[in-house]
Amino acid sequence: MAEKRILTVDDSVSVRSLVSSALRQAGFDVVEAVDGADALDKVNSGFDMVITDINMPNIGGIELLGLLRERPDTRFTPVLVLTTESQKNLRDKALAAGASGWVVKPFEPASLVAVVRRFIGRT
Amino acid sequence: MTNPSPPETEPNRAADAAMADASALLFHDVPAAVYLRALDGAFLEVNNATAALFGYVDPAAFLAAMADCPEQFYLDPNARKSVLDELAAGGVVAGRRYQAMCGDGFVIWIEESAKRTVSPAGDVFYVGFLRDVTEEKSTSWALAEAEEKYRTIFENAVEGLFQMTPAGRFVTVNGALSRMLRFASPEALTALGDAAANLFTHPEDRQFLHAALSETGVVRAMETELRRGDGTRIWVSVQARAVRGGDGAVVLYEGSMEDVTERRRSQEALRHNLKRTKALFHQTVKSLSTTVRFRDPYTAGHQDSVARLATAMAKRLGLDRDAVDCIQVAGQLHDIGKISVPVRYLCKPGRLIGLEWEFMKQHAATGYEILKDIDFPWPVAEIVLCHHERLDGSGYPRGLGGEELCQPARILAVADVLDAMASNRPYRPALGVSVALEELARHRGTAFDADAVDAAREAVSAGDVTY
Repeated sequence: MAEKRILTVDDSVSVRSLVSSALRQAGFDVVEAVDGADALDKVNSGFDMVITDINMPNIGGIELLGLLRERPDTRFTPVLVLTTESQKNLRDKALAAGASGWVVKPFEPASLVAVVRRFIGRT
Repeated sequence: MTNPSPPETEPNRAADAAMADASALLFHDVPAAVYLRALDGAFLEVNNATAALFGYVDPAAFLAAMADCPEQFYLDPNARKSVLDELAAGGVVAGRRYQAMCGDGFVIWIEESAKRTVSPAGDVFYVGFLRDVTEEKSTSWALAEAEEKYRTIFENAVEGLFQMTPAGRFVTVNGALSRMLRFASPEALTALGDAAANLFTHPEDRQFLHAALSETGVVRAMETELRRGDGTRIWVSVQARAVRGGDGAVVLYEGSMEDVTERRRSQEALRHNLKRTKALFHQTVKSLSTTVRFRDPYTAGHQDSVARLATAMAKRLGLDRDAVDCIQVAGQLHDIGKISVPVRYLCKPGRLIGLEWEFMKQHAATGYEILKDIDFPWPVAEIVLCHHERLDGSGYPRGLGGEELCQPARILAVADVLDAMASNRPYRPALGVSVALEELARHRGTAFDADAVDAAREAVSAGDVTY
């Protein structure tokens, strides 16, 4: 079975590299995007899951969620929000926009892998 | 009379019951999340706060979810195992933090503390406390992320950014500054110790910076020359502000500097070119004025004197630099038209008569013709054309008067007459400066501008010009 592919979207270099290394060690194929606009460019090639930050330049996480849900090819792709925001109203907004889950930064690599596996199973 | 001692057993039993009720109440309604679990880790009982923490409506819903999928809120199985192992080994676990998943897919940070307890009946179980520490964790993480962003801006800035102690030691610098000052790295610059003494090529600039920052707290676009790591020099524009400590004393300077060497170089070249162009202009005017010397040395000398006198008068009248320059140039060239007048008329002793005089009067218009196509920054040709006009309309060639004559023309007319009368002419000896001044005074306010006449008298009596 081919590796499951994950697109990770964050404007912070260090967060992207933390997410990538945790997921790659667990056997996932990871592609990085610097913001929502970059993610929309890259998502065409097909992903099993998207992990996105909320506050980003150009296109933020909530807007990205909405745009992904409009596209037929990404309508059902699980999207995990990974952010430092923990406000309830923002969380409700993300859920309404179609978020599958919400992880508050910082994250334990093992816990992140566990969350991802709950959505898309093992590689 | 003494009261009998109360019976011992009854009240104690009541107190125990009350205590049990209170414990149960406390357990369920205390705002902290509390649980009881068996030695194998299975939850026996949780309170309302625990259920709410994980997004369940009540303890029963939480327990049911945990029974379906034991301990599902632990995302990392190792976290659960380490808590239970530590409880089994030492009977206590304190402040263990891990990520946990709520019923709605929200992943939070939990802090767990627990200890082994033995019930009065002898049952062994664990009682524990859970605390949501998400905000605490995410706040410090958000700070780190923000810091990363600012660090990126700082490190990638095009300007040299710095923090410096008043003593002159660089505390923080970015890559742009170390490159600008020719140091291998920002660290090489901060390791330098008190650099400022060596840095400023003009020590007074450093004193100025120091004084400005301690007095006004800010310095903008201060240009100074610095000595770089490799000994070469560079001009920079400095923006800085003073950072003060609790006692109000300046503890740090912070700001930016930009390399303006190229700009200063081109400004310098521009200034040099401008100076040359100005010199060229004045040399050209002088040469033009000298062309008449070959036919008529008297006229050439007269133009030099009139230029000097008219300039002195213009200064006394408080004209600005530009107007003074205009008058100087017009004075220098006012008789250039005389190159068209036959030499025999110019040198003729006695008065010119008839056509001779008509010929002579032509020089103003000829001067205008010669000069009118030169693009002077002032109306030089027009002023030259008017230098024999009089305020009362008695002059030539056009018989203009009053407001039709501009101030430079009025000044020039007075200077021309004064110099002509005060100097030797080819056709007669000098009449003397006092005779000239008397003549001007006679026509002050009629033929000649009153202010110009006064200015001429002052210039002569103050010795601005001598006759």
